[in-house]
Amino acid sequence: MSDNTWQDLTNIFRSTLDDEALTLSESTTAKDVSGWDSITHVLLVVAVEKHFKIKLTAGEIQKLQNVGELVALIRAKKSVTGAK
Amino acid sequence: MSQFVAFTLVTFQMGIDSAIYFLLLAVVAVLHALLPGRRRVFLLLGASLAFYAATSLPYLLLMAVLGMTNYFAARHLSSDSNPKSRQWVFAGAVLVNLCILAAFKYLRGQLGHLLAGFDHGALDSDGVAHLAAPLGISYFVFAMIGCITDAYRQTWRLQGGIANFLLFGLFFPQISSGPIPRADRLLPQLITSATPTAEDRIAGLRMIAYGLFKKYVVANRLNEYVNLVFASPGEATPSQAAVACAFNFIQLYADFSGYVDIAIGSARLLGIHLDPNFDRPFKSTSVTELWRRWHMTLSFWLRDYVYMPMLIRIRTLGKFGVALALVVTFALCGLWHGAAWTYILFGVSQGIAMSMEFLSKSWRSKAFRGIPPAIVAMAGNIYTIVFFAVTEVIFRSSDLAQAGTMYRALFHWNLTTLLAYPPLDHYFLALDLFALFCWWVVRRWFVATSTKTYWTPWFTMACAGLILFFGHLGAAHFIYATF
Repeated sequence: MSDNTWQDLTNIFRSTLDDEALTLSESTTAKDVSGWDSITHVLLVVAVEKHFKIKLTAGEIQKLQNVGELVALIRAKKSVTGAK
Repeated sequence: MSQFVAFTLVTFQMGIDSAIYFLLLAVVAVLHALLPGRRRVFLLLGASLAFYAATSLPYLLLMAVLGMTNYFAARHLSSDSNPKSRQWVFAGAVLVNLCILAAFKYLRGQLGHLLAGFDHGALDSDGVAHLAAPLGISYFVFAMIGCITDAYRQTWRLQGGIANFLLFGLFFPQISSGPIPRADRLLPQLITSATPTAEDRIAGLRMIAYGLFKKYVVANRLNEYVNLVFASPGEATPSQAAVACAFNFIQLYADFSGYVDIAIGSARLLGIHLDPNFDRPFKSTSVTELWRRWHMTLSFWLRDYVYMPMLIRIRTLGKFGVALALVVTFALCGLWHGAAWTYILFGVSQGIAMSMEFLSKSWRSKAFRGIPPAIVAMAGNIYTIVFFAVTEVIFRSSDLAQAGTMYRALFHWNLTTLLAYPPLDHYFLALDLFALFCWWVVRRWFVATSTKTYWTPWFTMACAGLILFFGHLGAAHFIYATF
């Protein structure tokens, strides 16, 4: 699942930010990616929620510091959904 | 109570450019160097309380009580883990701050009458109570709401005691008009109270000199021409209105960034780094970028505490939600400046421009694909400057009717009006153009000598000389001190 999460997340970032050459790592932050700002951040969240069929809380969205934290959050949410 | 009214109706105008301010700063800077680190917070707090008390003693008590209320709320939010009680404390603290802000900023007329009911002598001959707003109330309240929200979100924990916290809110170089401080960056510096380095002192001195130059030589000079045109916009030709429009934008920047340079420079003299408020806004290639470079501490505050929480809640609306959140946030940004339709319309116009830029982003990147990026950037820069200068007319106008007359003058193009000469007043225009030339030279010098400390005395003296011989002294107060 981990490989798919990374690949799917990269695809979401590429299509939302309109940058086909974009690559992500655990430590990637908004400062490292051109076009990832306060406007597109929420659009990325919406795309992530839709694709992974999860729901993030307002607090979780605002606390996100880097891509690694987002991946961890997706996995945690997915495991909860899977357990149900 | 009658004493309260009498005090607040007669408040002293003690600006950041006044002789008393600089005397206080000089005394504090010397004592700061002599005192050990742990005592410095009391020195700075004492100076900040004295500075505030000089404007109004009753308002100092109000701010101190509000500051203490926020301190105890922040302490509770930083230590308690019960979600229910945290929610109540957070909502209560934000509500108290907003009520105080609303009472003194938007309901001052009513509040004045209420207080004057205890003292009829406080009304003027027309029966109007001129209640002054507490100094820096908007900036203070925003700083408080910011740290309370951070504590509630658990992205920041309260550090230091009540003296540090009150100093964070009332720090005398920043209380008049910001920059709006963030607790996670300013509070640790106040707690440490490190000795300023030689570099800090030199940078502080240079910034104060440059800020005063911007205020007295540029802003106050341009103010005369702009005032002249705005006083009777019906008589202005399109070229005069266009010059007034451009000068208004430049004046606003020189005035506010001049104030900010003095504030940041004063803090640097004491070894404290305040957040920057401007980052070369004239270089912006879009209105969205401009608001990341203009009044940055306000726009970042709005982004973190208004725009993002709102957008997160309406995120399912997608791109429409982004546009809506931008317009609402900037309407509130306008309202923050004052309860007038001119400010709200100015804010809404910024929000609409940013929404349009956002919605047309992918279309533009396709349409401009074959054009060299430098040309696109230049066109974007011209569009941004023209848009901001034109919308700043609403910001400057006393009401919508005056703004409307200015726009009619600006766009009343025909052969007679376009060729109309002379351009209002040769004397003012020549002085203003010379002031702008001086700014160009001084700015280049300021940037070129930033690392060459031996130039500091010469730079400071040159600024002082220009202010003395060419500055418009004692003219207007800082524009943003009224917000």
